[in-house]
Amino acid sequence: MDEKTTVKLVRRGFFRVLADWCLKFILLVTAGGGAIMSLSFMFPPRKLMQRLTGWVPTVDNKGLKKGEVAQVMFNGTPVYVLKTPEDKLFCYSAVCPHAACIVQWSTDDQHFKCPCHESVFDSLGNPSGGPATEPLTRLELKTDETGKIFIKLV
Amino acid sequence: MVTRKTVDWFDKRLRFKEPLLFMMERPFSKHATDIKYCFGGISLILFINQVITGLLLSIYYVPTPQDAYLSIQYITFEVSFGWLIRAMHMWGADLMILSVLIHLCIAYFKGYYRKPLELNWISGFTLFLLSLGFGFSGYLLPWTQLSYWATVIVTDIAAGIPYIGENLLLFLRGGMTVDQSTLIRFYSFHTKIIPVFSMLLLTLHLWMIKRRGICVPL
Ligand code: FES
Repeated sequence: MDEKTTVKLVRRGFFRVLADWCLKFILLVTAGGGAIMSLSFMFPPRKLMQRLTGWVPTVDNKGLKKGEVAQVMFNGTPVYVLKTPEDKLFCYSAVCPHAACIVQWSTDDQHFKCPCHESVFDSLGNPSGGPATEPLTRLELKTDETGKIFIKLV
Repeated sequence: MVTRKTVDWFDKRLRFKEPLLFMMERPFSKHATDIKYCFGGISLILFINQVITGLLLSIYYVPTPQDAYLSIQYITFEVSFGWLIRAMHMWGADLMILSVLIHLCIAYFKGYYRKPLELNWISGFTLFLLSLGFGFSGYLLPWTQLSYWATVIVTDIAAGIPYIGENLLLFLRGGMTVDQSTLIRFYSFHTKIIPVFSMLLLTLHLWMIKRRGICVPL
């Protein structure tokens, strides 16, 4: 190599090169870390993908009026806890057995009605009109000593 | 070389090389290492930080009274790195206002509004007002007691301005009280209207410096 082009690494030169590489390293780590961080931020938390199963608490028995329902969400779909005028408790999945729309409870005539194709279900979940032939999915339910209503998710 | 050929292929069609080189070449000013003259660049970096973290936050944020606070809680405690992105956005906002303010003060006391810098001064000052607008509109979005009542108070102050006060109040609140219509309005200001204007002005602000060259301190 030509004598003139050889870079002589004096102490100051060494530190300059070192500082230069440190800076590059820091920049790279920041950029990479930022990219990884942003990407993982964009994916929703894993927790959401776990399905809830077993006995889960819902509403208080006392808070529920006769002839009315309480709506609770589990695993992304609504569930109704119904108290009939005879003080009986039932729990149904709100998903219509016809084409999976969400049925609504009508307090006036004590029936579940589906907005999509107008299926009607009575308070026992049985179809009484419209295209649906299957009943609403019944969920098991129990009340503990404090009056909290638990339902069983499968 | 393959890369050279590829670059040339694109350059023939896009003609990007010339302007790109123009944007990239930076005559190194001897003032560039003086901290006094760094606040413009610091503000720009903080602004870019706000854009990136803001875009990320908007993936989860829901601008309704029922969900605003819950979605912020969700971002902070559930989403991975959510706490960090949110903190970066929050602290970045404060720091950006601070550094813009310092930038403005230095420009003012050094007299950088004189010929040929008038337009830089005007666009810069407008940008300062816009960043205050960013801060004001962003403050309501978490929908906490603090941000809610701060907005009530500030919009009430605006209502005190003679002649235009009442209309200004309606414009800011989108109704008589601070409610859903205010929230969605502030969200739109914060994430759409002010960003568009400030990016346009920022381009202008930087373009002028680039075309004219950095001025030697007076
Ligand atoms: S989905 Fe309910 S009636 Fe068709």
